[in-house]
Amino acid sequence: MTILGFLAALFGLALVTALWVLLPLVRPDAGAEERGE
Amino acid sequence: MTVIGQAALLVALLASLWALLASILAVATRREPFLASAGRALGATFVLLALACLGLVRAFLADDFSLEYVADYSCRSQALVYKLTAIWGGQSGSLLFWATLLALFAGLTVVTTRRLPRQLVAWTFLVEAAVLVFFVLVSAVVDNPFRRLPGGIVPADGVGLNPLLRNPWMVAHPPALYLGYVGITVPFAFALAALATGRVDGAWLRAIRRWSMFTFTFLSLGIFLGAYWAYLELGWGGFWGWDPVENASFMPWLTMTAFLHSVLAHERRGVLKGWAFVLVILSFLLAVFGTFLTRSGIISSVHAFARTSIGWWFGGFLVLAAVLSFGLLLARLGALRPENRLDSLLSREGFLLLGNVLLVGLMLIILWLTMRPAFDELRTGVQSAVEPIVFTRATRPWFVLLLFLMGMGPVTGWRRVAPAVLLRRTLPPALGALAGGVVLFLLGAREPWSLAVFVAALFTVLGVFQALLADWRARRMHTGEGALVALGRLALANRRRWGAWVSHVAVVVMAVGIAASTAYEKKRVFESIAPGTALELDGYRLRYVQLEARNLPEYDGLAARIEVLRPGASTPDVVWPELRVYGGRERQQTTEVAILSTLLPRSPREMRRLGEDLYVIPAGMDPGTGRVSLEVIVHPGINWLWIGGILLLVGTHLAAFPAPEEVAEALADGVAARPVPAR
Repeated sequence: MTILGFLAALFGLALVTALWVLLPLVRPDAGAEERGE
Repeated sequence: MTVIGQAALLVALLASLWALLASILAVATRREPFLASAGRALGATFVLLALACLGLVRAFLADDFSLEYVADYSCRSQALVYKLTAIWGGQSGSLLFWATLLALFAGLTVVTTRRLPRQLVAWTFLVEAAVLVFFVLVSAVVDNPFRRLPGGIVPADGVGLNPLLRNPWMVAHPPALYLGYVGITVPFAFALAALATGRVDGAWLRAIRRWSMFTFTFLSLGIFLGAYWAYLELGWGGFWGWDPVENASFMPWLTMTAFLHSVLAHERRGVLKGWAFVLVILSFLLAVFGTFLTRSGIISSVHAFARTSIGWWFGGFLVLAAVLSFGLLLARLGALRPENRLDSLLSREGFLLLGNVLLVGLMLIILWLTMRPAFDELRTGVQSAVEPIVFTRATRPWFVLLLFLMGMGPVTGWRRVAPAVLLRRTLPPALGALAGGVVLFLLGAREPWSLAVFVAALFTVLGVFQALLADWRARRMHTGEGALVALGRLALANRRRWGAWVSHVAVVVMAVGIAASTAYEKKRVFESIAPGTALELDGYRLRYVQLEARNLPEYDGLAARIEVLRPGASTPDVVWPELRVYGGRERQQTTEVAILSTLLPRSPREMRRLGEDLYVIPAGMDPGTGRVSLEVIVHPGINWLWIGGILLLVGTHLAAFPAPEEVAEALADGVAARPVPAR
């Protein structure tokens, strides 16, 4: 159970982080929006 | 929650690695999306590390002794607050905490640098990400706080946090010091970014002004709280024992102090430009050096963690960071020529330069003495000890010179001061200080170094007072304001200058406390005394009454009731020195000293005892016979050290938040001071 929980947390967090971090590369205007441009 | 934390730490490593890669790509390609991605990765690293911290907190709260770190630093009977603070009680937890703070600061720079030149920002992210990768790597791979005990063992109870650390100061001292240490990374990252992009004008200094003050304030607060804590705990050598780890926090403080002063000279006069870079780089390296010192075990110290290989990771990082940052500095040496020449050494910038030299010199002496045992070990195979008195003897002339120099700031002006004018302004505080010194000598202050400190302190205080008086008079003459209104408005409009002067007065007040308490300390040991015995030391009359048992959930204690009659008082105060044995898997003993302070004298005769402490150490207690052994010490003036420390925080706070017109004035001065380009 602990190993499964760990793996689920690992992949879940990695996926969310990757989506969030890589978004400006896929949609270059994402960064501009953040800067209020 | 613990498994989420464990997973979050690994993902944080990936996120920080991506932050580094994306910022390298942003620097190389100058493409905004990479920079945006790097910024997001820094923010994500912080969120993930915060999750890891929460996971560890959860493990402590749930008494999850399957984790080695929890089993080592907590036990079932440990109070809730110390279960929470145990997160920075040991090595792996404190490294995770350090990395989390670093990620927080990196995330904050992402938010606060949106209007700065993009290439400068990209380089700043790159440096921050590189430092972050190192700390997260160490925390996730080399010394993971989520490591489980081998063989799936789950002990019934943990060892428990060292009882010395079960102290309210544990809540405040380490985080304050870490905020200071970690905060230096931001100015360091900006400095390297400025060097890398060639933008070595004042822009980077303006961008990090607040950060530098923040770092300096927390470093001061951390050291100050640590000194107070060490004073309360027996066996830590008093408020300052020149322990390697104490020195490791003091050395970056000295270079940060020098840095803040060199920034002033740079801002106003365009001089000491290269110095500012050297000092920031040194401060960062010294902060990491402190971590290396405690983790490598190359020097023995009361703060040292277990000897592990982790120290060599830090050693390697230190060498790499030093080579890269000083290499970059050397490569840019041509661009670091000062915009202005130093007109005269008899000027405020001249004295600032001298102060810088003294501060750095002091740091080098402390560094040399701290490292000497390790050098001796290399040479002879045996680690020698450098006694605290060696440090004191080597450093005190420098301290006294610095104290005098602090008084010169208020009496000098920028650019150049004619010797006759300087003499005229210096003479009143100097004569006042000398007269004060003679009076103190006649009153019995005969120890030469303490007398030198008292005279220097008086000189600085009188110098500041004279300058304030001149400002106040000038304002009243120009505006026709009332006395109090003029004073209040002066303080509000000149926060930066007042902040600096309050800080200088604070430091001399601290110096007076240190000099008085060390030079005029009185001590007596009373061996195996029976209940009812009367004792006497320096006018204090003590009577040991009886022993009392104190059994609390966390510890079993034995306390001695001692009635103390202060000199000239008619009713006694009661103090309780105590010996405690804490629960947990290993029963650990502590000695709790009792302190009676004289903060407000009750009669004029008691004036000389202002700020004095009576300090009672229980050396031994026999519950069978009721006999105790006590060491009683009188620390004259020690509380001035703490009062000065609080004043220093007020001063740095004032200086950190100047009135807008002051900033404009300083910038205008700086622009005016710079030569007009030929074309």
